[in-house]
Amino acid sequence: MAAAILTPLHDKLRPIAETMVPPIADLDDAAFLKVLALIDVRLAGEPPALGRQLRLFVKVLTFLPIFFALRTFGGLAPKRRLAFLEALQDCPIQKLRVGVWGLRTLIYLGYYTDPEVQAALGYRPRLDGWEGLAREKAQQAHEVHP
Amino acid sequence: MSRIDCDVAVIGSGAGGGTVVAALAELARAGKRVILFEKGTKLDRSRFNGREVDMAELLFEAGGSFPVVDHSVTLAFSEGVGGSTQVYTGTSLLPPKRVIERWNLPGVDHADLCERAEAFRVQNNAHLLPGPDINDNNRLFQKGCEALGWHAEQFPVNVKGCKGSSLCNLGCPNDAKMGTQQVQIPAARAAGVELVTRAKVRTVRAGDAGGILDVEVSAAPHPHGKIAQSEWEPGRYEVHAHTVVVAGGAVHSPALLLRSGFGLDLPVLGRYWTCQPAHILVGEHDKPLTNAIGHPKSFLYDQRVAEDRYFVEACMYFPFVTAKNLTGFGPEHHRLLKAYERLQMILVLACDDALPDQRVTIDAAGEPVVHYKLMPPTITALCKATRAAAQIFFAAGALAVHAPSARPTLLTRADKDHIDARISERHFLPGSVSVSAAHLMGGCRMGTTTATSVTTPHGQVHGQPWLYVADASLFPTAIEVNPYLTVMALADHVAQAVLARESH
Repeated sequence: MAAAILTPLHDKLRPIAETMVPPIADLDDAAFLKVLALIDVRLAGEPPALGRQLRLFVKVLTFLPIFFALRTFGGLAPKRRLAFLEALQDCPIQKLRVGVWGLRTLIYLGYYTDPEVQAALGYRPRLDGWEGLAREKAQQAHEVHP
Repeated sequence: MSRIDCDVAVIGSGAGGGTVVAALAELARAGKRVILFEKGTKLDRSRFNGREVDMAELLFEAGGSFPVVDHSVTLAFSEGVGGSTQVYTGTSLLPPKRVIERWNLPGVDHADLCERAEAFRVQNNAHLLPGPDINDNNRLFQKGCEALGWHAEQFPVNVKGCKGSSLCNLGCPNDAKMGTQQVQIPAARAAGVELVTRAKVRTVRAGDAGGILDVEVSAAPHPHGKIAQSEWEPGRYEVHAHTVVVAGGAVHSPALLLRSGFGLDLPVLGRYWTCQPAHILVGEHDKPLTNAIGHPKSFLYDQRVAEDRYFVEACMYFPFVTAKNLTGFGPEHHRLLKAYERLQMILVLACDDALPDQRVTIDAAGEPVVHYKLMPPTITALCKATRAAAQIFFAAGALAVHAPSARPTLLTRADKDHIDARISERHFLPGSVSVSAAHLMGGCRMGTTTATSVTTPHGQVHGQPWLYVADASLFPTAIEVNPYLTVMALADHVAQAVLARESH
């Protein structure tokens, strides 16, 4: 089992993740922890310093809005959360931009690699390619006109 | 530490090392001992399930996202028998004459390289896919170019028995891609070349009659599942070889030579490193198209490469990689992914300059560190390429185009006539725009002097008659096309020099 790197910060991460990937708001706690667990598996092979930097960055994102809006990130309205993250994404400080990019990429990894999510997007790997597609079409036609 | 003696040791089994051992098969047949060392393992198609996370972790270093120091680019390169030929799309393009002539290296002749490359095209079954095998995504690329009056070139791909799974970049589940693990390495092994997997070469140094390798054979469990054990017992070996050929790729070859101490005499070792950085762009159409079925890549547009330093290709990527490569997040980002079945995709690539400060170094543990920055001319080339791709998308009928270097990033058809103004270098912020690279080159560049190069034009490391390099790290500059065929041609050229040395 991979070391818990981001999972312990699930309460702080949840509003950030929901802002970056809106359907995460529909996940229950167990499903959201599964997303974070997958990220932790990926991070397990990385240097420990990266985990520390990520945890620090999540805390920065959580508390930085206090200086601008007197609220933590989780206390902001959804539109202001998005605007805050977009401002960081385009800010002049490359390290902050990289932080936002890295965190969103990990959240995408945890969410968009789920086979059910991929199927809902219209993607699923067909190892047999064209043959598999033809078979599916034939099956669909048969279901319409048995 | 056990001692092993051999005639030739080849390190790395990708396009370079795989080609070298095939060329040295005649030595093995004549009774000489040739050993091919591979850091990764040998995977068969039963492991290739087409799932992004599983395959990225199994086939790629750092899951396909090896970061450069400033995190502005991630690098995709593979380990395992076949190296990156396990995960390329098999785009079989000849080395461009303008680039080889610019290299201006005695003994490295464009016609000769093309002759060798053509032979590998035949050996690897490279051919133009017939019309029925071309999917909508590629057709739309061709249609868009034609509508603009641009020439979309169809190029050969090296597949045999391709079922069109479109999973080339995650390892072919049908063994249809003719990489070195399918063609050259089995032929070499049949001739008697030995393959040793899970064998990391820690250092290489000069011995009395050639080179001495410090090899560590691993028995550690693989973090992503059970994989085959090495052909040798786990442990440390001292391998004495009359000739050593380094072919670990443009990241690991310079790193191996640096941690072996060759940087003291070779000031440009690791330097002049290039990677042809790339973006994935998407265009949204009004109805579903075949993009995740069929071979992903058959067409390119490269008419602007000499002047504007870019080329663009049809491509297809999987949901996570697509999500990662689209700039931004939030509702608009997710809406585009929900349109996945209606997305046309184009890969834009910039030809970056070989500069001394773009380089590979090593950390305290001897592992590679890549220092690479997106320079202004590269950003300009990527923006020009993005404008060209946007034109292709709209000419092919796309309703909207995601352009990383535009704000907002989504262009609609109303923006069609204002593409040049909407896509701008000022919106291209390294660190927030996803840039990845899989064409890694340089670091052990060929040349004629130690002040400007690491090896001779025949791949022999300056001052070390027993040590050769045979991979993309030899390239003095970016090759300006998909590189694998040039790597094979050049590795074959180096192998002739090794054969000549061994025959004396």
